[in-house]
Amino acid sequence: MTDTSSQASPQTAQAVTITMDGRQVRARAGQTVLEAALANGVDIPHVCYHAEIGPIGSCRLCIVEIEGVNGLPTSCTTPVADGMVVRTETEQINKLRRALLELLLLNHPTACLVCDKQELCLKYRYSPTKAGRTTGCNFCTNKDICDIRKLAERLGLTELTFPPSYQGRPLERSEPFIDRDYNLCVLCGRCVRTCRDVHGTAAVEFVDRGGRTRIAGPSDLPHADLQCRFCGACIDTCSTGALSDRYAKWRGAPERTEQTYCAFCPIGCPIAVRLRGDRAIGTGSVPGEDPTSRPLCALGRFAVAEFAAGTSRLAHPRMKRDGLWRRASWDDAVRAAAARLSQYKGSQTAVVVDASSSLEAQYLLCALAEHGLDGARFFVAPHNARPETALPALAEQIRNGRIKAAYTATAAVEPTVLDNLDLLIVQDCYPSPVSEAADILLPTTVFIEAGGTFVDRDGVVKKRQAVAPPPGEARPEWKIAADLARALGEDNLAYESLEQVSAAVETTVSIRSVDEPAEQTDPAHDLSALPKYFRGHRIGRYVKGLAQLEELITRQSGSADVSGD
Amino acid sequence: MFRIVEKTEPVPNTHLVTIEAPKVAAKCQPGQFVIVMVDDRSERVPLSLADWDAQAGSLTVPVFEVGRSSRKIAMLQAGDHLAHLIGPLGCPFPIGKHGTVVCAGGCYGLAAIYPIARAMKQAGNRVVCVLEARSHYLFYQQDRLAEVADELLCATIDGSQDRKGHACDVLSDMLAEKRPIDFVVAIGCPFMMMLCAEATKSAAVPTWACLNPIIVDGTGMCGACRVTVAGQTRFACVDGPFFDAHQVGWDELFHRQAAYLGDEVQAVGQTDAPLHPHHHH
Amino acid sequence: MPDSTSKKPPRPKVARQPMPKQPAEVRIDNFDEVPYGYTPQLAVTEALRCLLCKKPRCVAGCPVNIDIAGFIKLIQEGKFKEAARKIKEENALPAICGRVCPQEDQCEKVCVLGVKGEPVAIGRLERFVADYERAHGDVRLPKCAPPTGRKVAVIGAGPAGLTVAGDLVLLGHKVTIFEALHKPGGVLMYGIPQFRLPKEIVEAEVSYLTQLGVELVTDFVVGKLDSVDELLAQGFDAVFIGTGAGLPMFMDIPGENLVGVYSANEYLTRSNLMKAYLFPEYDTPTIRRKTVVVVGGGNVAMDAARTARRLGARVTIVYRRSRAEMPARIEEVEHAEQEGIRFELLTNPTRILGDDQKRVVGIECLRMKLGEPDESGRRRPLPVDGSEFFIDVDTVVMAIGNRPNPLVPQTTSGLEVSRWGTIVADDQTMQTSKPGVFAGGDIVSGAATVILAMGQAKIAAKAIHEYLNTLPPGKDRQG
Repeated sequence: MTDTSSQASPQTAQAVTITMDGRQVRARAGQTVLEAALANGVDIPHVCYHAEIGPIGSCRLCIVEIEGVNGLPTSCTTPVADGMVVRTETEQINKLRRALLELLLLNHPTACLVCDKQELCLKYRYSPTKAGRTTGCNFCTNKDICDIRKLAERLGLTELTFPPSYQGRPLERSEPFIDRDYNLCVLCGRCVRTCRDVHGTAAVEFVDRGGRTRIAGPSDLPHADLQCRFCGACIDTCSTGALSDRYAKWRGAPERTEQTYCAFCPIGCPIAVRLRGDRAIGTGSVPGEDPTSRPLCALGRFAVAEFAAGTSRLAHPRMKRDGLWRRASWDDAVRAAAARLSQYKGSQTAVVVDASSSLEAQYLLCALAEHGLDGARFFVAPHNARPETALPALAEQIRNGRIKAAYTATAAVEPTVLDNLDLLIVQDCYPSPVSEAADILLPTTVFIEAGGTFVDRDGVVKKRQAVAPPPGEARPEWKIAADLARALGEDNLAYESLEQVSAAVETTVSIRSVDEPAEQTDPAHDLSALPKYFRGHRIGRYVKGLAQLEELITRQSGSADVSGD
Repeated sequence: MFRIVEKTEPVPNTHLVTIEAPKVAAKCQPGQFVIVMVDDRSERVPLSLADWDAQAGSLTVPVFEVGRSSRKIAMLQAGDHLAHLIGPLGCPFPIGKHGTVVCAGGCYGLAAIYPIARAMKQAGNRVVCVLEARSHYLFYQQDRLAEVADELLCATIDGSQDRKGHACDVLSDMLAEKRPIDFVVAIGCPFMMMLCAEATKSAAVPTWACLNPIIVDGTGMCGACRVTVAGQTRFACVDGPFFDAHQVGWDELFHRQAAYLGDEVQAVGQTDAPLHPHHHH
Repeated sequence: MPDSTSKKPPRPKVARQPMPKQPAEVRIDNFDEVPYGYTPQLAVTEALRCLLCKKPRCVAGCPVNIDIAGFIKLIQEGKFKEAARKIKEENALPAICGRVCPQEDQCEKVCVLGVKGEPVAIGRLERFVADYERAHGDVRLPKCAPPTGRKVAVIGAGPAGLTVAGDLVLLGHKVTIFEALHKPGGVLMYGIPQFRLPKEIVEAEVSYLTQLGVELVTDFVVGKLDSVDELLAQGFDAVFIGTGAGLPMFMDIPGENLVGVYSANEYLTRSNLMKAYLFPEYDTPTIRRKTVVVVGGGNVAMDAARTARRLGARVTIVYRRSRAEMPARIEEVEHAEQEGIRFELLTNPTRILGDDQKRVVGIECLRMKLGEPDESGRRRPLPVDGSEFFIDVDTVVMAIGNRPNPLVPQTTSGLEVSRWGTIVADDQTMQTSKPGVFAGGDIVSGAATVILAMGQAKIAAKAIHEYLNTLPPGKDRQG
C-alpha cells in the first residue's frame, strides 16, 4: 500500500527536491509526482486516484509535462526523482483534461454542468430535487460534495463535444442501506479497489467488457451474498452519486464532523458523526485510523443517525396515575421517583443498568443502589441481550416476589414478570413493553447525545462526546442518576457535571480486564455477528436497512430467526 | 378504485400512466388536471393531463418522480389500482384564435402541453411547439406533438440536440428574428416558466403559465395553493392553474413549494422497497 | 298508586352529573376523544333529574324537534336502545349531535331546571344512548316506505346532505349523495378534530345511511364532473345542494402568503382528513411546528389551537374581541385553557413577518378596545393606537371564518345567489330559484353549525318529498 504520509521521519525516506510549476517543492523518494503535488498544495486534477487506495493510472486526468520525458505521463504512477522538472498545467494539458473528463462523463448526465443558467437556477432551487433517476446535478444527492462536479467547474467544462447518452440501467434500491444508480457511474473503479484492496472483499467489481462495462457484484448476485459487510466505504469513495446512503442521501452536505465512539457493541469503534445544523445525518469511519483494522460494521456506518432520530423517541418525563400516562416536569418526576423508591430500600429493590451505558451512569446507579437504597440489588444487562433471556436471575426474583421494586435503565428485562412489581421506574430512549409497564418514565439520551467513559473490548479506556442534542427533554443518564441521588438525600452522589462524575469514577472504580467469553467475532467482518438488540430494543425496528439485512442473513443461513419482533 | 391500463417510463424518471376513469375522461378539457391517491394513506397528488380518450374511458397523466408520493405512483404497473381519482379540476384553458401560438413545454410539460397544442391547432392557430429537455434522451412524445404542431423547435441544456439552452432562449431567438408570436403557453417547472415569461415580457406577448404549487383539496376549500398574481391572492386549483405569467409572484411560488422539504426527505427515506429484490425500480 | 307498569323512581336530589373526561395533562399527548361519555349509572341518574314536563320547552329549542322528554323517559326506564331509536325518529345522527351541538344555546338553554339550577344534560344523554346502541351492535334499521321511483341527487356528504338523504330514503325515494372529497362527512370529517368527533363515529353514521339504501359516490366534484343541470337532465327528479361554506377567509394583511400561514381549513384538513398527525405512516406531511398563533375566536379556532397543542406546539389564540363575545362553545374554550393554550384577547394581527426564506418568524398585533355594536350585534373592536407588539411564532392559522364555496352556484344556471355568495332559498321550504333544486346548510346560511344545517336539511327533505309528490306520474325519466 502506498505511503500517504508526508511526515515520514527523515531516516526512513530520502528527501528529494523537484521543481513544480517553477517553484521548488520538497518530496520524498517513493512518492509519486501526484502525491508530492497534493502534499504541497498543488491540486492536480484526478479521479481514479484516492489517498486510501493509491493510484491505478486509468483516468489519465493527472497527466503532466515532465522535462526530458516524452508525451504526458500520469503523475499518479510516476515516482519523483531528485531534480525533476514538472509542469502541471498548460493550455494543451487542460484541453486534453477537458476532453478526457467529457469522455469519462459520456454516460453520465452532464446537463447541469454545462447549463448557462446555473447561478440563477441555484438561486431558486433550495435543495436538490429528490428524483428517482438522476438526470442532472440538481437532481442528485451528491451535488454539494461531488468530485466530478468540482472537477468540471475547475476545468471550465461549459460545452459538450460528444453526444452523451443514458444507459438506462435499472435503479437498485432494494438492498439494505445502499442505493445504487449505475447510470451515474463513471467507472473510476475506486469502489472496486476500496472493496478489494482495503477490505479484502470482492462485493463489487467490473463486469462485462468494452462499452458495456459496468460495476456490479460478480455474476450480478445481490451484494449480501457476496460477503459485502455494508461498511459503506464504497459510498464514501464513490466519485459521483452512483452509490448513496439511503438514509443520509437527501439531507444535504454535512457541515461538520465530530468524533465519538459507537455503543452498539463492546468493540466501541471510533465514529465520525456527520452533522448538519445540530442534527446527525450519518456516520463514517474516522479518517486517519487504519482502515484495515477498523472498517465500520453496518450498524456503526448506517444505523447510528437513523436510530437516534426515530420519531417515537421518548422525549418527556411521564408518570402513571389511574392507569393513564400524564406528562410531568423533571422535578416532579424525579421527586416522585425518589419518594416512592425510599419505601422500597434494601434487597427488595433492583437497580438495572445496561452494559452499553457509560461508566459514569453505571457507577452512579450502582452507588445509589448501595448507599441511597441501602443495598438494593444491582444488575447489568449484557450487550445485545434479548429482554426474555437477559437477566434470568432478576426475572426469577421478581416472579417469586423477592424483588418488589425496580429501577431500570434498560429494556432488556423480561416483560411478563413486571406485573408482579409494586413499583417500576424506567429510564430509557424508546418505548418498550418494559416502559409501558412503568409507573414513572424518564426519557434519556442515546450514545451520540451524551458524553461518558467506557472500556472497549480490548481493554482501552475511551471517552465519548455529546455531539448532537437529544429530542425534547431527554437527559443524559448520569444526570438523571445524580438528580435522583439528590432527591434521595445522597448529596455526595449529587454531582453537578459529567466531569465531576468522571473524576469520581477514575478515583473510585478500578478497571480490571475480565476474560471475555470466547466470542470474539467482529460484526465489521461477519454479518451474522451484527448485534440485533441495543438496551433491549430491537434495532431493526428503528433502522429499516437492518431489518432488511437481518432477513437476508436469515435466508442465507437457512435458519429461522428465533428472536421475532 | 381506478385501474391502471398502462404504465411506461418513456424517458428516465418520467412516467406516463394511463388510468381507466370513464366519467372523468368524458369531461376533460385542455388545461385541466386530476388529483390521484394511490391508497388511503396517500397524499392527494395533482397531475396535469397529458391526454384522455372519452371513447375508451381513460386518461393519461405524466408523473415525474420527485419524492415519496410520486415514487409510489411510479412503482405501479398495468393492472394495479389507484384508490382515488378526482377530476377534472382547474379551469379549462380558454382556447381562442390568436394567430401563431407557441406551446412551450419542459419536463412533465412535454406531455401536458399536448392537449393545449391540439386544441389551439383545431381552433385555427399556427402552433409552434418549443420543447426543452436537459439532454436529447429526455425528449418524449415528440411524434404526437408533431401531429398537431406546425413546427417543433427543441432546446437541450447540454446542447446534445438542436439549440443549446432553454425554451426561453428559443423564444428569445424567435423574437430577435422578428418571427410573429401572438400567444405563449408554458408548462414545466416554475423556473422554466418564469424564464419564458421574462423572455416575452419586453415584447408584451401574452404568456400563460401553468402554476403547480402544493395542492391539498383541489376544490378551493383550503387555500394551500395560494399564489400571488397581479398583487392579488388567487387559488391555483380553482382560479388557475394557468395564470398570466407576467403577473405571477414567482419568488413566492418557489418558496411556498419548498415548505415541506424536511418532511419530504424523511418520507422519501421510508418508501418501501419493492417486494422482489431484483424487481428493479 | 300510579301506573303499575312504569314505577317512577323518585327524583334524585343531585346536581347535574359531571362528564368523565381525560385530564388536560394526559390529553394533550393524544388525539383520543376528550369526554369519555356517561356510564349507564350516570346516564340514568341524570335522566332522573328530568321533570318530563307535559309541555317541554326543550323540544322547541331543538332545531330538529327531537322528542326529548320521550327519549329521556326511556333512559329513566333503562331502555337505552329504545331511547336511541326514539331520537332517530327525528335525527339520524345522534352520536354526532350529542357531541357537537351547542346544546347550551338550544335545548338546554330553555330547560326549566336551568332557571334556578343546572339544566338537564340533554346532549350528554343523547350521546350516551347513541354510543350505547352502536357499542351493542344493535343498530336497527327502520323500514323504509315502498319505492316511489323518484331519484334525488344530494350534493355534499356533510351534515346537511346526510340528513336530507336519511330523511328521504326513509320515505322511499332513491337517493344518491355526490361527495367531492374521498371521504364523506364534510366538516364532520375534515373540520372537527378526532378528539372532539372520532371519525369512526362519522363512518358508522354514514354506513347506517348506506345500509338504508342511500348510494354514496365519492371523488365526484359536482360543477366539474357533472353540473346540477346535467344531473337534472340525467333523470334526477330533485337536487339538494349542501356544499357548505368551504371557502377560507383571509385577512389580507401583509405576509399572509408566507410559508407557515394556513387557513384553518387547510390546517384541519391536513390533520383530520389526511391524518398528517400520523406522518410518516400517512403520507401528507406533518405540521408539527414549535409555536403557533391561531387567529379567531370560534369553534374552528379552538379546534385548530387544540390540534396544534397536541402536535407539540406552544399555542396562542389571538382574538379581536373579548371573552364574552367569543362565538366558540364555552366548553371548548375551557378545554383549550386547561390544555395550556394562551389567549390574547382584544388583540388583532396587523402583519406577519418572515425571514429570507419567506418563512414565518413573527406576527405583529395591535391591541383593541370595544366600541359600539356593529351589524352582528356585537361590540365593534377599535384599534388602540401605538399598542403594536410582536409575538414570535413560526406558524399562523387564520380561523376567521369561511364563506360559501362558489363552485356549484357558479356552474348552475338560474340559481339566485346573494351578494355574499350564499344560495337564496325560501325559509319554509329551502327551495331555490331553480325548480326542483333545494339547498340547505352553510351554503344558504353562511358558516354556522352542524345542527342548524341539519335543521334546514329536515325542512328541505320535507319540501322535497312534497315536491316529488306533485310531479306528474308519467314524467319521463331514466331508470
